[in-house]
Amino acid sequence: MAYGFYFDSTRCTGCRTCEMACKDYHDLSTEAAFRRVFDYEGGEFVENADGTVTATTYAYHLSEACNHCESPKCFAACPTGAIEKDEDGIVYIKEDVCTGTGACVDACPFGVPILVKEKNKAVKCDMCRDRIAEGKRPICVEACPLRALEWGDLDELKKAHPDAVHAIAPMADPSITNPSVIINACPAAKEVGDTTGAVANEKEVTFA
Amino acid sequence: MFDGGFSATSLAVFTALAPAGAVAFACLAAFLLVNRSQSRDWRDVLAHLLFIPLAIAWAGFIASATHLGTPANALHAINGLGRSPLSNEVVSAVAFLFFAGMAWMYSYREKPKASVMNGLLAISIVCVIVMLFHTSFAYSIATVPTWDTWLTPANLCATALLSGPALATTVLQAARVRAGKWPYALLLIAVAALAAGTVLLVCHMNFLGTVGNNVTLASALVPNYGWLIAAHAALAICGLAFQLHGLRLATSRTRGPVFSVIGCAVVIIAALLARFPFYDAYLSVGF
Repeated sequence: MAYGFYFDSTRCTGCRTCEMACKDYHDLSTEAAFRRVFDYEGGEFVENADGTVTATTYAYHLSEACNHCESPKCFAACPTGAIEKDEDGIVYIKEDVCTGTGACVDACPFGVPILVKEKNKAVKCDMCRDRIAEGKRPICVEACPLRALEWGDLDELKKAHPDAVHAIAPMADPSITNPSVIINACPAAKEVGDTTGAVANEKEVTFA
Repeated sequence: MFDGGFSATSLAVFTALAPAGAVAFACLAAFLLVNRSQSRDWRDVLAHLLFIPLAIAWAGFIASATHLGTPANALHAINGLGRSPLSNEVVSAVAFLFFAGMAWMYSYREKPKASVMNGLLAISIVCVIVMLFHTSFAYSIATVPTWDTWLTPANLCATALLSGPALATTVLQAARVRAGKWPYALLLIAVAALAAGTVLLVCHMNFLGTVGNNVTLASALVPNYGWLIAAHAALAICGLAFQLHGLRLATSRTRGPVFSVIGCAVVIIAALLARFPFYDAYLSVGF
């Protein structure tokens, strides 16, 4: 059994409540966010011969935390064995073993682990393991006012959402790590590897 | 250059100094092994001077330790031996420092056994090769296409074969031993490595223009790559010319080594300069 997330991009309005609830619950500084909301935008306005304008512009949001991948690259890269994947599929960092080499930060194709200067350690989403142990859901899922996030057994999530895809832009190719995430793609959503759009809030979602 | 690369400065220093010291040590060890029949006095002098490349390699390792956020946990870095390229790198480096350090300390013994000394030197040379291999392949990360190329190990080896022989030449001269053609041969290796390394750097620069992700083209990460390559080549040529001049002044007991030391320092700075764009070029396949 492996836990996973379901994200409904037809519902998400990009309000950041998931991100803020996570930051509040995990008491994160301005240097880190375990869940980030990407604004993906693109397209153009084309002026036609008759003076009218045709718009191909689009914008949508992607709320992404750690994907708790089936084959996590962070786990493979860590020299100290500080990253573990437990029997529930949760990928987490053992702080007492982490030396802060940043190997996981370099290796993760989703830019999930963050090196925090205050602690000199890498940190990332642990799917709220402590809450799950108490029988609760991750705080981001509980917080979403649009009910755009679900969490549970990945196989059951897949059964409940048969049309969901494994990734949308700007995520990395899911075949690299097999993320434990499925997504309901909104009509505007672009496929992985798309080059027509760009992340409009790059500074907000980048921690270096 | 110091924007993205600054956080990786310690790694740039590490990958410039540690291979320089290690390859210089290997060159000197080879010299001692080849010239086994010579008088013992200068062999002792040279063996004592093995401290210089060893110290430079140590300086590199200390620099890499500052890259660890939490040095108190440094021992955990070997947990992933066999599985993690980084752990393999650390263990092979420690093995080199152990055997090379043993050889250096053994040279202080009053009646050292030639067989033990030669054995330690030979093992050290093997350790240098293994260490260079693992240092190169620590960057073979499938999710970082700008590093995961044959150019990474090739560049690292070229830099090591430039600065290592240059350093060994200076130590040979400082030891005032009759080294025959060895210093010139070492400088020739350095010149060849510089030529090959410069071509490889240009290849990597061009390669960056072909790689990108959802956000940026890799070449945009290192806009001044061309200038850095030019500066690297120019500095290295100056440094090697100084060393050659120093060798030709061999009759002067002080001026020759002074030129050689300055030239060697300039070559090592040139080698360091070539490492920065590599770290600046970090690019993930994802966002």
